[in-house]
Amino acid sequence: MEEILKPVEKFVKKELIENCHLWDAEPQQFRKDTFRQIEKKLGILQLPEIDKENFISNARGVVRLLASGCGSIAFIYAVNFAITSFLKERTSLPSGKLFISPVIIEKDDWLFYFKREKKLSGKLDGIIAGDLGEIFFLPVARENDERGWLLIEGTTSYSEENSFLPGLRPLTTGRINFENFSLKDDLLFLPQGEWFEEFKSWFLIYLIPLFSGLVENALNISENYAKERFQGGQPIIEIPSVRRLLNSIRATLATLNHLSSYPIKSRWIEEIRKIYISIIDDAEEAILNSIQVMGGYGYMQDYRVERILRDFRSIRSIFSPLEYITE
Amino acid sequence: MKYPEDLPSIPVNYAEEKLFSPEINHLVEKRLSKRFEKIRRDARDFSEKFIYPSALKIDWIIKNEDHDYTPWDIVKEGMKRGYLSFMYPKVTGGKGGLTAEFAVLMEELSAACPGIANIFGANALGAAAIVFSFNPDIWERYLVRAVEAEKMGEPVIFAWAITEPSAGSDVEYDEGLEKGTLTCEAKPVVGGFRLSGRKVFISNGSIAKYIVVKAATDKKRGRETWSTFIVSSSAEGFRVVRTEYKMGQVACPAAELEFDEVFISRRDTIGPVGSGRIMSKLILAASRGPVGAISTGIALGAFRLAAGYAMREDTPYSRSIRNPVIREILVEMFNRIRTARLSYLEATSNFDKLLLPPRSIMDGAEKPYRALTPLIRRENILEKLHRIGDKILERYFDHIVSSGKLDAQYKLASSAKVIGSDTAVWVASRALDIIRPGDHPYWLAAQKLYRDAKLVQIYEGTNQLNKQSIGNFLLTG
Repeated sequence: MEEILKPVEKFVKKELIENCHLWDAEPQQFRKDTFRQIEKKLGILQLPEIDKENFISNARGVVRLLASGCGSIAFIYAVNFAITSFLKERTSLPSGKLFISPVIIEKDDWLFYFKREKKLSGKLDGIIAGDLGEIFFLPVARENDERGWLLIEGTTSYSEENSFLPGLRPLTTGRINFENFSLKDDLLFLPQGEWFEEFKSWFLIYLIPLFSGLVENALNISENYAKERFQGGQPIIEIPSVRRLLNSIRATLATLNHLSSYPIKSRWIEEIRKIYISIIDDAEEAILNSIQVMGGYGYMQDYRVERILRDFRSIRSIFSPLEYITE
Repeated sequence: MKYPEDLPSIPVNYAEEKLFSPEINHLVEKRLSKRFEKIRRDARDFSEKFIYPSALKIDWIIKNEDHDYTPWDIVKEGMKRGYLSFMYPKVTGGKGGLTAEFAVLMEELSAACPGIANIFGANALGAAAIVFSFNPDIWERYLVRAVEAEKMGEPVIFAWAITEPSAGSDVEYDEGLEKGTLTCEAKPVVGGFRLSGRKVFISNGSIAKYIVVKAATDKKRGRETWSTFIVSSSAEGFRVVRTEYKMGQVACPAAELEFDEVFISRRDTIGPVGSGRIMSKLILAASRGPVGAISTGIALGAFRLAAGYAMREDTPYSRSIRNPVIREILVEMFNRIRTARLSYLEATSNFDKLLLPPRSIMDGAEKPYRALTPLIRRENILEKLHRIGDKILERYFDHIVSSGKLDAQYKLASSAKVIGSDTAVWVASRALDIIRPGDHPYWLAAQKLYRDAKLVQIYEGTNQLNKQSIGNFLLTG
């Protein structure tokens, strides 16, 4: 595992943290091939082949590390791992490709799937990182109104919409268009069914380490600030209320770290939902507290901690805990 | 990426009225509640006409296109309704509004956009020391002139500059001033002072015509020499260093200001040297209530969005009002808003009752003051009145400190600020749980309010500082 995580850690510290700050302020600096360059350097998409047995724990470790530098890049991989973790039990998957699916999955949008002609038509809105995806797992409706999800490989046209998220920059949100799109033979179609709950839960498996990374980053920034910032002749880390806030963030981080390696056993779908619901408020509070430690500076973009809150809140909104509470 | 011009205006659904009849009727005497309702109605009318249709676009422009954009058209419309001069005494031509009334105005405007509301809020904060100077000389030269300029269609904005780069919340309380690393200093010179140093995060700092600056006249003795000065933005040596890139409330700029040997005449000093501590405490005792109101407004705005969204027919069941879980969450949101509203109404009404001269006296003074205006406006008379004003202020400060009224009010106001701001963040977060991302314009408006909300836990003293300053009273015998 260390062999896999070490280069990622090095990359995060040396390049990702700085670049992520830049991409947040100037998303146009994140070009289409930037993601491919990152992937070329780290080969994260190859993880399922590198160590099949430990894939999930490795993937969770990678997501956590990436999130400690950049929430948006970690998010792309978390989505990819969730989709591939779910699909790899059902079909053989091409290696080294980025999988994307709609993440606001309760939307009632469907593509038209003409099975006999092997054609696809229609559009889907609100696809995050749709421009980076190579393989899509998408909701489709057949002529006989049979509905399900289809694995689609190939290029699609993508038009960027106004990003509706407060964070996760430089990822774009857009519309993927399929006009008379020809499909390959060997990809998977899953008719609507109970599997969908499992699919949704896979995202949560990777979101918990993602939150862990975000909180770690927030803690690092606010802790360093508290050590270096002097008020009244002493570093503010000596002030009891600042120490209290930092300790509370540390406690949440410890819990999240523990849960990030939570073993996936039977009844895991139910359990991961409970874990997600129980930890999400604490995770948000921890990031809010990191800003609080820094006072006005924490609210300003230059100090880089407010971005973490925007990233976190974007993800929480996409995977609203209400979706899991009300079911 | 351009702003989507076809985006509908932020929808307004006063859903809270379904849950609770306007509670202020039960709270305060009827005459006041009528005034509150009039203010609330006017603020709603203003918000619907000017803020809701443009708040998202202004947020977008400042974040993506023009960092220094100020919505002057809205400010001018608010000015016409007296929102800039709301707190100025009637004798100066202002509306003579009470703190509680201003808080109601702030709540309703903040429900639409706390950034825009805060332009008016920070203006009142900036003018507060001038209002509380009870000094006809200062009133004439600043408030009267500001109101006259407003009549000509020219907004005159005030700002309050207290926070320093190396002393954040420190400078807002006594102990902090003793230990704080002050950088600003107004050294006494012939005829006045020379102010040098920097102030940071100053709301309205880059658009203000006048900045009320807190500074020590001897920074080694910050507590004893903390004083209040008025600086014009056209003064030599004054510079706006930068406006900050904030997460939210972007319509109201936060600026870093530099003072390089800026000369301040003695007549632009509010109160005697060393009275700045009490003045700060008085202003915070007044303004933390309205900050609680801004916070309540943010929560109310988020609640209205969430409830309005949940009430739509095409909202998915998991997020719909048809779902009992959503109804429960909405009621919990509103319960917290009620608590926050009651807290700020209590704090601000208390301020008006304890620390302001009775309204009957203030209103009664209007006619004789106006009759005497030609006399008052003579330079030599104004100078004399300035000295008398300082003496009155000194006696007033002695009274509110020795009677314990200031401390009592300070605790209440700080508490209202903490309750309100925690409510704002909590409710805004829940609204984002309810509204599905991409369901515009509900979603865009709600995520904006969430970004806006975090700031209220920070400004006017962080919530931790507020709790500490309340908690310290437990130590007193």
